[in-house]
Amino acid sequence: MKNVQEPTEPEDRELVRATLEGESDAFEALVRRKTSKVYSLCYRVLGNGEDAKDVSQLVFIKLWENLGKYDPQYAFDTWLYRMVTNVAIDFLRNRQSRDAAVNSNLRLVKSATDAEQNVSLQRKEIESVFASVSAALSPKQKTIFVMREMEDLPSAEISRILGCRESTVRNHLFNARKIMQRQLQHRFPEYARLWKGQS
Amino acid sequence: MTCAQFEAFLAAGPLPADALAHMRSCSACLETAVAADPENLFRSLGGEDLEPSGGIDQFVADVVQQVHLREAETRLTRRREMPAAARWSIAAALAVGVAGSSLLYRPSLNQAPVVSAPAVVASQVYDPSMTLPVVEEYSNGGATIVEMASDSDLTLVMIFDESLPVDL
Repeated sequence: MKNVQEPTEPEDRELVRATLEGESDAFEALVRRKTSKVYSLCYRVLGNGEDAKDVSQLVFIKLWENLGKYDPQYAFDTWLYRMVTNVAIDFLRNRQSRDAAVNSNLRLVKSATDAEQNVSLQRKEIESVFASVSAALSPKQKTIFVMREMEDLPSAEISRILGCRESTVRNHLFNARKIMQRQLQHRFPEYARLWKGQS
Repeated sequence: MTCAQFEAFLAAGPLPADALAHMRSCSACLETAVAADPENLFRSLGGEDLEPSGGIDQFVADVVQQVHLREAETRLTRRREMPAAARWSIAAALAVGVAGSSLLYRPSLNQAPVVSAPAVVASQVYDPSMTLPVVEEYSNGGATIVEMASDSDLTLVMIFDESLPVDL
């Protein structure tokens, strides 16, 4: 299981310190090191490459603006992930209120024809199903589901990232699974059959 | 990890990281895993780190450029903005100036209209030998005397004395 507290932590802190001392190369190195992780989480939460890129850029700009507030006694990745989830959740909320129903269908088509993602047909299909059924989740439920099931983060780490109790994370996960199961039965009965006997 | 090993992990319970990695790359094992636990369908989407379109180098360059842009904007804004202390000192100086001049300038309401005198040449007004009025002594302990700091020959002195008649 992947944990965000990695042995590279002291190096991250070192780069933060160097950035705060005015070394712009250090910030560049920090962005380079974290781009894949930040972008992957954004992509899985937002389900769209362009949005994920924009939000990731925003995260790194916020990171640069708030670097002085980072407390080195905490894991850097936890702090960074908190920033990512806050920006992504805000973005999802705005997008949901902007274009709720129509966009979910457009997104499904876009996701399925996204040439930038070099993934197999089977994976694309699962991505489309996920994009469709997860549209019924609240931004927080979706973020927690992605962090737990796709980023493989333990509930304890998710609770630290979101600044809530572990029981809250488990409740959100439980509700997210129920909603997605219902959505699958309604929209993708061929997949929903898989759940029969499980619930 | 082999498919047989994966099936053993699947039967044992929650999948460890390497078993999840295998499931995400093996279609046959994914089908088995989804049959055992349908949530593995969406779990299969995770794992690998993704890259933004255009590649990481381009992304990093864009971010660094944006940061430099914001840095320059912040520097310019700071330069344009006067420090709070300077703003307060200018406001205080203006307030003192206005208050002082309103105390000194008291036109008499009953004063006859002044006939404007012909313009006087400046050299006629300024006589270096003329002594400027100076307050040398003021014998009232209850009065407040304020002397404004000045670089010129003129010194502004304000005397606040409640015992003096109002129409002085």
